[in-house]
Amino acid sequence: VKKRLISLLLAMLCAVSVPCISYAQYETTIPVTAQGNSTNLIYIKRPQSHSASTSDKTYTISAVGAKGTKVKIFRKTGEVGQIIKTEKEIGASGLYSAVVDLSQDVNNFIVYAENGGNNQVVNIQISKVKQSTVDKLKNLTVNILNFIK
Amino acid sequence: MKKEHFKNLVLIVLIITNFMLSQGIFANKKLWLFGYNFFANMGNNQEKDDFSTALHITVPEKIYVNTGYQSSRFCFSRGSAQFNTIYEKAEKLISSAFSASVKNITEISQEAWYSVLSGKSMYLSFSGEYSPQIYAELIGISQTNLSFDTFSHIAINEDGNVFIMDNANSAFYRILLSDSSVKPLIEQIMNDNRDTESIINYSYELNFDKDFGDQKTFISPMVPVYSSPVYTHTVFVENPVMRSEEMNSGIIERILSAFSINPNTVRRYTEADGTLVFVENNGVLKITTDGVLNFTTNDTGIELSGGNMAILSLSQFTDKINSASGSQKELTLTSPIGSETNSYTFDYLISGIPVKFNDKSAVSAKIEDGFLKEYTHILRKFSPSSPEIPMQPFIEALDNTIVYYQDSMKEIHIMEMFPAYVCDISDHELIKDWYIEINDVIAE
Repeated sequence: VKKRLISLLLAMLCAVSVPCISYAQYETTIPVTAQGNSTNLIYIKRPQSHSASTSDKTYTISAVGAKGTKVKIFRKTGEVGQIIKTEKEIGASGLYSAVVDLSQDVNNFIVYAENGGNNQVVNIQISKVKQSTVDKLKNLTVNILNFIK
Repeated sequence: MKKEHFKNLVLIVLIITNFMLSQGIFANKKLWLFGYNFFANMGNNQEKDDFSTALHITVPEKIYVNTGYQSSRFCFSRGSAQFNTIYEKAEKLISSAFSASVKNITEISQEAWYSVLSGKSMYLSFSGEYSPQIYAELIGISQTNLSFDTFSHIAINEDGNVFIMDNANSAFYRILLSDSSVKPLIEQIMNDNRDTESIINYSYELNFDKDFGDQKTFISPMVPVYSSPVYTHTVFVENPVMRSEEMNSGIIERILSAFSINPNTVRRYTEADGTLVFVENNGVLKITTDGVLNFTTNDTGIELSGGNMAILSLSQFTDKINSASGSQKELTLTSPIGSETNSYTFDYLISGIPVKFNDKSAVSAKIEDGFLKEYTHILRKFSPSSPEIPMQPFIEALDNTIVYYQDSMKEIHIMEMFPAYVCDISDHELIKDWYIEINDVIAE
């Protein structure tokens, strides 16, 4: 009976502590291979396709999620992601936005969301392009849209 | 003989002086140009250092300079030096766009409008809404080819083309013009503010206006979302009507004079709460101890001078009341104006930042056939002080507002969100905060 009781207590301890431990290990770093156990905690609104190109030195990532969802952003460097945006809890509006610096030509980010025992990992890639290329693309888009109209 | 010589000499000097002075007037005022509006020009020259309401009816509240980068998008409020520089350029292009000679007006898509804002451009945001014809008349143009309902958003791209958004129908128009000096001006603004951190995205860029997932909050596409800190400082508020807990008789007399009321013949009494009441054939004027002036009439009302445009006459009258009471001169139009309009509202501006009284405007008035029928004016003087402190972040402020609705709401639509001095009429100190205008809360 004593062994069973100890086993039960250990099992309970594990059930409570595993999510905490797994969360805690993503305090400042996250493995690039990390997979979440959920896909509907947050929806990335920008970049909608989870990748974008810009000539700017910063980029604003936006998302929507349930109130109470905690969101962090990591920058991928090698096999791990280093934290660049500390935890922010989504409030009553359900809206989230964070500005990330684009220090490299190709910038890979991991958006990590957590709510209760659920967590979600979203990979985002922002590439830097020259302003002249962006201008050309914009003009082309406007011309095509005007032509269609 | 010598006397004759002297007379001739004086005559010659006078003639030469006459030519020199005339030349000066013609050269500076450009009176010879066909269609040149001398009086409009005279007004514009005053505008640079005058905060009067009458001269700012057509001036935007804010100008956003879009540099093509979200990290360097700048917002300039009325009154700043850079605002004046940009507006000087924009004003000329807007005048050309509204002129009757312009024929090249094309309807464009929303994407094309957004594309202008994403590139190098200026975006002028007005606190009032104007019908194009009334706006044209206000800037001295008798007839315009722009014929949509109302607008409060104008953009000018780096080539000098003018873009206008029709508020009522969410349509967009491009007026093809050309000005090679717009691009260098935007680049100059960018260079001048190189060290300023200003990260602004329009709501449409962040897709906060579009339905996605379980989204409950929708922000209108043109609302600027500030990601870098916005700073505020304390502003002290003074009620100019009161002096040492008594009504300032000098100011009361000047206000009566502005209403053409003779203080010696008017019937007057004081209400229990200290409100002064003046009764005349034309109406009743009340001045409360908390500095609210209210005029109402069942008769013809007060005839306003200042031409046949009601809004101009009203703003001149408002300037007169501000001057008489020593109130803040800077006011901005906040109501729509069209040919059928007879009710108008204004809000105070402190260094270009609006003051939003709870459920009230600083000035509200009703005019019928050139006669003032109703007029309410919250008389206030503002003096900014103390060092700047950061305001709460944009989304945090939004969360703190929505939390009041969250239990019962299914959706909430935010129409406007900008820094303002949100206050109550009894406040003596103001702190800039986010002014949030909610259009619709859909209950569950």
